[in-house]
Amino acid sequence: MDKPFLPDTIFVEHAAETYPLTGYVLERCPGVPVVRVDDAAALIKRFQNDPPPGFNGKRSLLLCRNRGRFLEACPGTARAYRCCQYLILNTGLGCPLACTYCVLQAYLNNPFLTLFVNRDDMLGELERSARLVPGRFMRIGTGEYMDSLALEHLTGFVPAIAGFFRQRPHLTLELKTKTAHTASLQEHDFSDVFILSWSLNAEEICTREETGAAALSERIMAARDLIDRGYRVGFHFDPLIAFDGWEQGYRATVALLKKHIPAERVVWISIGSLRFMPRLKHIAQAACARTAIYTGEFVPGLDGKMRYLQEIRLELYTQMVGWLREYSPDIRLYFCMESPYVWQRVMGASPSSNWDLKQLLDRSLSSCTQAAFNPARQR
Amino acid sequence: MQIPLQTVALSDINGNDRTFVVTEGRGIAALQSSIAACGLLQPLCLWRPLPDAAYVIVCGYLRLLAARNLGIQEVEARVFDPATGQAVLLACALQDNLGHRVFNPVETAHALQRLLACLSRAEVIEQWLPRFGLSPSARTLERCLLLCGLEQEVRAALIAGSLTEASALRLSAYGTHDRLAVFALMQQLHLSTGKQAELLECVEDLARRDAVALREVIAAYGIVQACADKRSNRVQKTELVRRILREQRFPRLRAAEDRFETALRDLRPGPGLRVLPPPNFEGRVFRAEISFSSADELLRRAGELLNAAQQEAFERLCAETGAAAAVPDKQEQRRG
Repeated sequence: MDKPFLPDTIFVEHAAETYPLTGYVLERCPGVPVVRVDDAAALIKRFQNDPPPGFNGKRSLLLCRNRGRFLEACPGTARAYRCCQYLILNTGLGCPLACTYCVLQAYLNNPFLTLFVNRDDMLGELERSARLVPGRFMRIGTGEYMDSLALEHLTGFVPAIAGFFRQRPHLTLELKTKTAHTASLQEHDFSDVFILSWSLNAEEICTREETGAAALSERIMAARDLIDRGYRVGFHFDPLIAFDGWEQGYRATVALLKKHIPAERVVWISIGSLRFMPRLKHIAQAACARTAIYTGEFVPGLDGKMRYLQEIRLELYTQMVGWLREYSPDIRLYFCMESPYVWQRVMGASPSSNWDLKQLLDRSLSSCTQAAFNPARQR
Repeated sequence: MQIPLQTVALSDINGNDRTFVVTEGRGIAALQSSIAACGLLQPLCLWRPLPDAAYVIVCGYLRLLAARNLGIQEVEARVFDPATGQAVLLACALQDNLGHRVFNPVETAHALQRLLACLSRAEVIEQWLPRFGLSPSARTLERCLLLCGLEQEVRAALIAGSLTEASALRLSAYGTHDRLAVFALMQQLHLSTGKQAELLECVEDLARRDAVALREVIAAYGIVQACADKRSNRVQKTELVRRILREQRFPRLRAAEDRFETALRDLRPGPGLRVLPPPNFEGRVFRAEISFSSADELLRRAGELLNAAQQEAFERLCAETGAAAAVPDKQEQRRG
């Protein structure tokens, strides 16, 4: 069982002192040393350039205001690959988990695990953005720059924002996690508000490459528990990794899904293969000397990211889609950042545009309604 | 700081004491000619730790060597007081050199290592790294110091320019046996900066993928034999070793390339026509190139290309990208 995270040190920016979330977090970290700093940006710059000996950014929590945007489009790259037009809500930056393939290792220039405490500003921005396109369905996620639930026990994010989303049914918030920290979702019924989704992988990859995350079975059982409470869930097989024995590994994971998860409660399953900015490889291998995931046959993709050779991706996807179709022929499967050619080859059809893909997923949300499920029947 | 000028016999200077010598890998031929022609224009700087001890060279090690080679018996020298601290002497040695030349990476690394013996880490980072033209950060310091641990022959290659600093830093992360094996291979080849990085990356990836030592990668796949082939020159050996490593590292990409080449041979496009696969076999966009020198030639070759496009061999050519993994799509399944 993954243990709830507690930082070694908390850095509090002066401007963040008076925000309720700051007090909330500090109350939940008794005994953790707190360092007050004048300016978070200066602190980040200093530690980025010259980290003091023994500094561990993943164990150092920075509470500060976000002076930039909270909501942004998922950085889908290049026109050559289909993107689902997902929106990212930045509640913070960095993640206490230590997945060897995590893009944040190369993407962020902030070494701290950072939480943005000006939550009202976040909701205000969200409201203004939603008003710009009244009534348009918006799929939003918080799991891009941070695991959505890894710090939930410190932040109380879920109950704090549930009311906002409940009043705006056209905004859907997907909480994406590799943990089993679902206590706040068990305590309250937010099944009409959130989609809970888990990143899944083969057991071998979960064990070897996802340090700090919950075991595969714990993730699936956490999903099952929430389904029984009426929640809708999603799964993300991303990144698929072509390790020796991947067929058995991924097949076993799908078998676990089949055993425990009623397919009609699954809003969507995304599939993607390992892809990375070229510089990530050296950063990740320096951080984890034993990982071998970057020794696959990667070539530069049309967006400049390294991807498995297309024929390897086709093999991975074809098998996965086949097993998932056996699990449920009706489940909404989609590729994250794949070409229309790959879609066509594996799924037999490709969304005609990014907008088309977005609408497919929006429709999945509508068809997998909260009321359509009777947990008792499933048991 | 006033340092008295004295006449000193060269025999009184201990040339083997290199405590303050910061020069590494530099020749003295030009300097020797200069001294032969004009004499020693710049006096040496010496230090005598005890009143009756031999002098230690602080500044002017190369001048000392050149003067000895020229048979000079006595020179003018500034002699530091025995009470002068080592940090001051080292600073003088460095300032004397930094003022008129750029240090090579090995000299920089050794200088920083010596400074750390006299000064605090923070002082070295903040005061000295900028003097070497480096950013004042702990990371930069650590990176520089890695070069100190390299064997003499590796350092010499770095100074000579046959090994890049990036490659030397990469080698510094290996164990001694692996480092020397990889270095020995590199020395047998003719590798540009980019090719050094490519070779190291390939060897590292293969070792990591197959869970073997780097030297085992080099011992395998016929690399040693390729290097030993007396009929090949260094450039040919380099290309052969690169090809061997690439085939091992990217077997499926290589197979896809081979399939495409075979299909292309069947198609036999005429002169002036080229058909190219998608870069890295990613996506489905092929390219055809027509070379021509007149409108007539363009029309003729375009016609040949269009004819070729109608042949079965052309379809095979296009199907070869991703064909190994091809899973029948729904349309194909229906046909079946």
